[in-house]
Amino acid sequence: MDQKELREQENRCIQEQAPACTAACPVHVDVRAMIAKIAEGDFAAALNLYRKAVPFPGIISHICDQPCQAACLRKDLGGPIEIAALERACLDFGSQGLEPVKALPRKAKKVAVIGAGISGLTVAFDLARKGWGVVVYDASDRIGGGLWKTPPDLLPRDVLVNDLRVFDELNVEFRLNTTVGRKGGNGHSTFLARLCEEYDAVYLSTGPNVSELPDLELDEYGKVAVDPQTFQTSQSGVFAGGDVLRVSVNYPDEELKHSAVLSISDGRRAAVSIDRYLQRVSLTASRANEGPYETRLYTNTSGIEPCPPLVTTDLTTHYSREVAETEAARCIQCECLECVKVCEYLAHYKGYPKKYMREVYNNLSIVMGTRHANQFINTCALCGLCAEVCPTDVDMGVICHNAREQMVEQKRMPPSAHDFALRDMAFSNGEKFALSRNAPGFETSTYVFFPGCQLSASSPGYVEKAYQFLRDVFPDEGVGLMLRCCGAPADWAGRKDLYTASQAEFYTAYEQMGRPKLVLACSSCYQSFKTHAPDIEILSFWELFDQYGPQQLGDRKSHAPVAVHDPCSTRYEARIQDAVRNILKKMGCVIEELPLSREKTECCSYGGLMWLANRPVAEKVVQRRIAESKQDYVTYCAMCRDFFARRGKRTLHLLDLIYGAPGDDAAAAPPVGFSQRHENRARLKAKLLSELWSETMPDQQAFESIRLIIPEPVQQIIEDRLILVEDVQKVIEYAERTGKRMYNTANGHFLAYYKPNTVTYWVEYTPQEGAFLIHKAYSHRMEIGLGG
Amino acid sequence: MSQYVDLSAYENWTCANCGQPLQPGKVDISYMGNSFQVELLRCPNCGLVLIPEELALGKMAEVEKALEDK
Amino acid sequence: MTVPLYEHPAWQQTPDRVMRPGGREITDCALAVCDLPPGARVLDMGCGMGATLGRAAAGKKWRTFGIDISALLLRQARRNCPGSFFAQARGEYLPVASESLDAVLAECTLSIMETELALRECARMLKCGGYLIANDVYARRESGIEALRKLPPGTCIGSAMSQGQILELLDRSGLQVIWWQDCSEKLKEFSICTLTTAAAVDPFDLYIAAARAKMGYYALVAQKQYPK
Repeated sequence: MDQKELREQENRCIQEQAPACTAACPVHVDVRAMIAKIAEGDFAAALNLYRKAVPFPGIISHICDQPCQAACLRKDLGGPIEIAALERACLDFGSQGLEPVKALPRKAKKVAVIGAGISGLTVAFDLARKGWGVVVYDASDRIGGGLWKTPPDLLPRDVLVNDLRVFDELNVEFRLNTTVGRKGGNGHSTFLARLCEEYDAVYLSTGPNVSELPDLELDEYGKVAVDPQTFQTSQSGVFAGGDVLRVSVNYPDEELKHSAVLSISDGRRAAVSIDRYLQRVSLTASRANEGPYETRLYTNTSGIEPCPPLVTTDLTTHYSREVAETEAARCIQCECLECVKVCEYLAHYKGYPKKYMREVYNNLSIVMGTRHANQFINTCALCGLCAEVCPTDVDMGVICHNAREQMVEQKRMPPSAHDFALRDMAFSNGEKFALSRNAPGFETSTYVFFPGCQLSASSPGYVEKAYQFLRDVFPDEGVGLMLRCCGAPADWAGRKDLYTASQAEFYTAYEQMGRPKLVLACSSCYQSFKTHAPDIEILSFWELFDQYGPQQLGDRKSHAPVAVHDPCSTRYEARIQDAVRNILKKMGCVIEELPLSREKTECCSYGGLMWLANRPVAEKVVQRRIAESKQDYVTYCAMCRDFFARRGKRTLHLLDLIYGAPGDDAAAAPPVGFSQRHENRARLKAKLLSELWSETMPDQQAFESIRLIIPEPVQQIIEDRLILVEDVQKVIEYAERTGKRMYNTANGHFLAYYKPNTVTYWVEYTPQEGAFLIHKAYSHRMEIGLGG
Repeated sequence: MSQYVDLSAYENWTCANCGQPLQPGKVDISYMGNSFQVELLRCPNCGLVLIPEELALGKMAEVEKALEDK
Repeated sequence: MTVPLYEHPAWQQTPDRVMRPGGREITDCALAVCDLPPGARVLDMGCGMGATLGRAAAGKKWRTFGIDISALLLRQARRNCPGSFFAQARGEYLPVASESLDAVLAECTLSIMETELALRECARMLKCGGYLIANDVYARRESGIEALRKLPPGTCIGSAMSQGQILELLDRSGLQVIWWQDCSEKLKEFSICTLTTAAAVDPFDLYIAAARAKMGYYALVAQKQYPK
C-alpha cells in the first residue's frame, strides 16, 4: 500500500472528525471538551477553551444564535444541551482563571480596520496578537458598533464593556470619531486607494451602512463581492466581513440577518487571509472546514436514554454551579469508536484506526519501528468485524495483513511471532499427514473431501465418519480425500512464499484427481480457497449435510438452548450460517443468537494467529466471547471449539451432535493438546491409508520409537511452552545415540539438548525400564556457538 | 561476573560423555547475527554446555525478543 | 574492579589495538571530508595507545598531539608514535591553547566523557573553520535510552545519546555538522565481549538494553563556525 492509498484509508476513519456542535459553530468552539471540563467543575479551564475560539466570550454567550444547539444530537434525546447557558456559567464561575492574552513581538507592517463592530474588533484582536500593527477607525465615539444596539437585558452593559477591555492588553490604535470617506485627502483617489497607500492591508467592516462603499465589485444581489474562502474583495489587499456582506446596495431596507458569531467567524477567517497576505504566502492553502459545515462524524446513540435538561433556559438564564455541572453531564461526548466497542484488540491499544494506521505506516517506512507497532500489526485477528460495524468500512485487518507481508519482505518480521504455526502447517503438509487419494475403486474424483488440518487434529474420528457420509451421498461420483493444510497460517503470517508453495502442491494433487469440487468442513479453508483460488469450485460440508443428511436428527428439545458461535471466517457466508441453523433445528435444538453473531460474529483469537502473537490480548478476546451467554455454545470450527474449551467454557462442535455418542457430555470434553494434535493427524492418515487403500505409512523415524513418561504437571508446562512430544523425543534420541548428555550426581538425572531446526530444546530426564521419565523441558532460540 | 546465573546451584552436573565435572568457561552464544561470550558451565573436554532453565526462559528470552524487534 | 575500564588487559588483545568499532575506514572517510593540509595541527582526544595517530597521520606531515587520561596507555602511545606529542589530561579540561587546532579527533570518547563540556573544549581549541571528527555509539530509539542509563556506569553504550541530542549539543557549542554517516553495521563486527569483561557488565543486560535502544554507530564531521 503506498503513501497515497494509506492516506485515503486513514481519512476514512472518522473518529477525529468534529462533533456536530463544533462543526455547526462558525468559529468551531470545542464544545465537547469545554462541557467535559464543566462536568468536572473546572470552569476556568472550560472558559479558556471557549475563549480560544471566541475572542469575546461574554458577548457571545449572551447573544449567540446558537447554531450548535440546533445541531446537537441530544435534540432527539430529550432536548439539545443548553450550551449557551453553560457558556455563561463559564464566565460566572471561571473568570478568575482566564489566561492573559499573549501577543507576538511587533512586526513592521500595519493594517487598517474600518469599523469597530464585532467583526472588525475580531480582526484587530487576531492581527494584534500576531504582532501586526493595527489601526481601527470608527465614526462613533466608542468601540463595539452594533453591539450597543442590543437591548441591555440581553447584553448587560458591564458584560459588553468587560469583554472589550481585552484591548487594554493589546497594542491596537483606535481612531474614534473618524469617518473614513471622500472628505479629506487630495480628492483624486478614493479613500480606499489612500488607505492602501498608507496601510499594507485593509479590512472593511463598516456594518449595515452601505451608502459609502468605495469602488469594489458587487455581486448580483448588490452585496460586496468577496472570495468565499479568503474574504478578499475585488481589490487586492482589501478584505471585508461582518454585516457589510449581508446588506445589499440595491435593497438597503431588506431585513438583515445579524449573526454575531458569524461576524466573528468572518473576521477570524479574514484575519488568517490578511496574516498570509502580509507574509506573501498562499491565501488558500490548507483552509478546509473554515466556517460552519456538516461533520462526517457518526455517533451511535442507540444505547442512550432520552433525558431532558434539568432546567431549560432562555438567553437570560444563569445556571448555578450544580445545575451547570448536571447539565454538562448530560452531554453525550460524541465520538465514533464503533469498532473499538466490539473489539478487545482495538480497545487494548487505547487508540482508534486512524491513529493505528499512522503508526503502522511509520513502522514500515521509517527504519526505526517501535516494538509496539510490530506486535500491534501481528495481533490483529484479520476477522473483518471492524469493517462490518464501521460507518465507512475501515478494515484494520486489511491494513495489518498488508503490513505483515511488507515486514516479511523487508526481513523485519520477528521469527518467533508465527514460527510455531508455520511448523504446524509444515507438519500437516509433510508425509505424516498429507494425503490425496481418489475414492477406493475410482480413477478420478468428482468431489474431494478436504476436512482441514485442525478438525483432523481435534476429531479424527468425525473426519472418518464425515468422509463415509459423503461417499454414501455420492456413491457413483467418486469422492476423493485430501488431507493437508490449506495454507491459511502462512497467509496470515504474511508469508506469501510459503503460501504459494503450499498452493502449488495442492494444485498438483488437484489436477491429478481431475479437478474435483472441494468439500470443505473448515471455514478458514473455505475463505482461503475462495480468496486465492477463485477458479476452484468449493462447497461447504454443512450445506451438503443440510441438503443430503438425515432430515430428522433426534430430539434435543428437552435440552437447554444452545448459543451458536459462527466462526469469524463465515462472516458473509449466510448460506453456511443458515445451513448450520437448519441442522440444529432438525435436531430439535433451541437456538440462542449471541449478541454479536452472523455478519457481526467475533473471532475466537485463532484467526490471524492472534493467540500466538499476543497471548494477553487473545485471552481478553476469548474471555469476552465466552462471557456473552450462560448457555452451552455450538460452533462449527474445530479451533473455536478448542479455544473455548481451553478456558472451561462448555462448547460443542456441530459434529458432536451429529456423530457423538448419545451418552457423552461432549460439551465438557477437554481441549486437545498440541502434541496430541500431531498424533491424531498421523493416526488418521495411517488408519485411512490402511483401511481404505490398503497402504502403509512410510517408515517411522528413529525418534518416534522413543517412549516417554510425562507426569501431568510436566505435560501442562510443555503444552504451555509450545514444546511438542516429538521435540522431546528428538532430544533424547540424539543424546542417547551420541552420548552427548550431562549427568547429575546428586539426583541421577540426565540433561541434554538438541536443535532440530531453529529452536534448541532441553530435556531433563531419567531412563526408566525402556522408557524415559521427563522432569523438565525448555527451549530457546539463541544458538550455542558462533552461529551461521 | 556471572551474576546472570548462580553457577553454584549446578555443581552436581557432570559431563556423562567424558565423565568429568563441568567447569565454568567462555561460551559463545549468538542470535540474528549478533554474538557474544558468556561464562557458563561447560565440559572442558568435549564442549557440552549447560544452559539453566531460568537463563533460557529469562534473560535469553529477553535478548531474543529485543533483537527480533527490529 | 580496580582497573579503569580502558586499562583492562583485555584490550591488549583487540585487533589493531583499536578499542572501538569501525576500525580504520570510518576515520579515513571522515579525514577525507576535511582534507587537512600539511602542517595542520591535529589532536586526538582520547588517543589511547596511539593507534589512530600513528596510522592516519602517516605521511601527512601534520603536527599531531594525543591526549588521554591514562598514563599507562600513554606510555604505550609514546612508544608507538615517536613523532607525536602526548599529554595526560581529561577531555573536559584540556591544557591546549584556544583556537590553536585545525582538527580534533574524538573517536568513541565523547560518550564516556561529560559530553557537553568536552564539546565546548573542542570548540574552544579549534580555529574558526576547524574540524571536529567524531564517531561514537548513539541510540536510534529514544524510548530505550532510559534503560541504558540503568546499566553499570562507565560504558559508552550506557551513556549513548540520540542523534537529536548530539546535534543539539554540537549546535550549542558553535559546531555545525557538515557530514553525518550512520555506520551501525560496524557495531555488529565489534565484539562487545571485551567491553563486558572490562566493565564487569552482565552481557545479557547490555545486549537487551542496547537492542531496545537500537544502538547504532555514527561518524560525523563538524566545523567550528565563524562568529556572526
